[in-house]
Amino acid sequence: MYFENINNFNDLNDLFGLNNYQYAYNYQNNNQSYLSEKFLRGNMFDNEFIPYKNMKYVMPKIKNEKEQKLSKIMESSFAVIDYVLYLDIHPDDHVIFEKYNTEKEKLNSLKKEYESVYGPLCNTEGQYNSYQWLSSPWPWESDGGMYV
Amino acid sequence: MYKYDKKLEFPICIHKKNLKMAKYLIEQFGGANGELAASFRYFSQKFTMPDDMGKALLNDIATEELAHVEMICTMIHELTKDASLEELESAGLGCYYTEHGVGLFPQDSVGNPFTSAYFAVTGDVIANLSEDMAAEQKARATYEALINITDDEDIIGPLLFLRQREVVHFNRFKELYDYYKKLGY
Repeated sequence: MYFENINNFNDLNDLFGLNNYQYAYNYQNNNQSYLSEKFLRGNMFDNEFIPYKNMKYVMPKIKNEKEQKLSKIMESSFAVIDYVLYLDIHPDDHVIFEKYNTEKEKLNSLKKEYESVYGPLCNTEGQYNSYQWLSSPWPWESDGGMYV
Repeated sequence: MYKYDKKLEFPICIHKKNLKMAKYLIEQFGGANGELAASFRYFSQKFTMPDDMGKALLNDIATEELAHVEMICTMIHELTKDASLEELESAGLGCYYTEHGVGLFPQDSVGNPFTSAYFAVTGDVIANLSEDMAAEQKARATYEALINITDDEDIIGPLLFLRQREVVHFNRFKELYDYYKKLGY
């Protein structure tokens, strides 16, 4: 069934979300919009964003406060990463450099807040604690369907 | 020197076991245009970039690709969690199991083991960057095929993110390529 879509992506079913692409839209409209679209779609630059067919992004299913706080760190961390790649090639762009600074400050304070409750994110900086560092789950471990 | 952040680049939370999808996804771990090849292609190339912009960009994209390796492996690990022998065999993973169990071994989706030939490093900056741009486009196309193959939103979400990163990396490599061409390389 899904293979049929490959050569068929301009039909009305796609536009109205009647096949597998509906997921991208379903999760866009729920109440978890505290994560920015730029992060979820994987591109900080509006003019460079190229969606696949009619799919923009899928909103992750955040289940608790820990996941929510960590996803905000991922969001800021992603912005910093994407700005850095751009600044590598455009080191004189002050507008993006300012945006970088803002996100970096935000990232630092989000990390500090998270680490004081849930333990260290890094073993060479921030609030390291040997017991908490080695404690599971690690990022690749699913804990009853939760990401960490 | 690297430091590790105890988090993924993007949330991954897979609820449903899907061994067939794990078998397809392993292409992006150990395949020719997968994330492992990408990471170490750029890592190796950074040593001969002619100026600071090139060194910085290759270094920083290589680093992000390593985070993508972790994302793909996490997805495969979650998709194969608690799989029975019968399930592995019926998904065509019997041969994989006999050699690797459910460990993460870098190979492509038909079982070819990862090879450093995928790095395709030359000492020529224009050849290297052309290779990198093509690699990003091929990985984008593979992500689109993988998205077509599934209807599980837990899988589609991270794949859409990873696909978009290929788009962004391509743009950065293209800018660097054009800049070097202008300099006369």
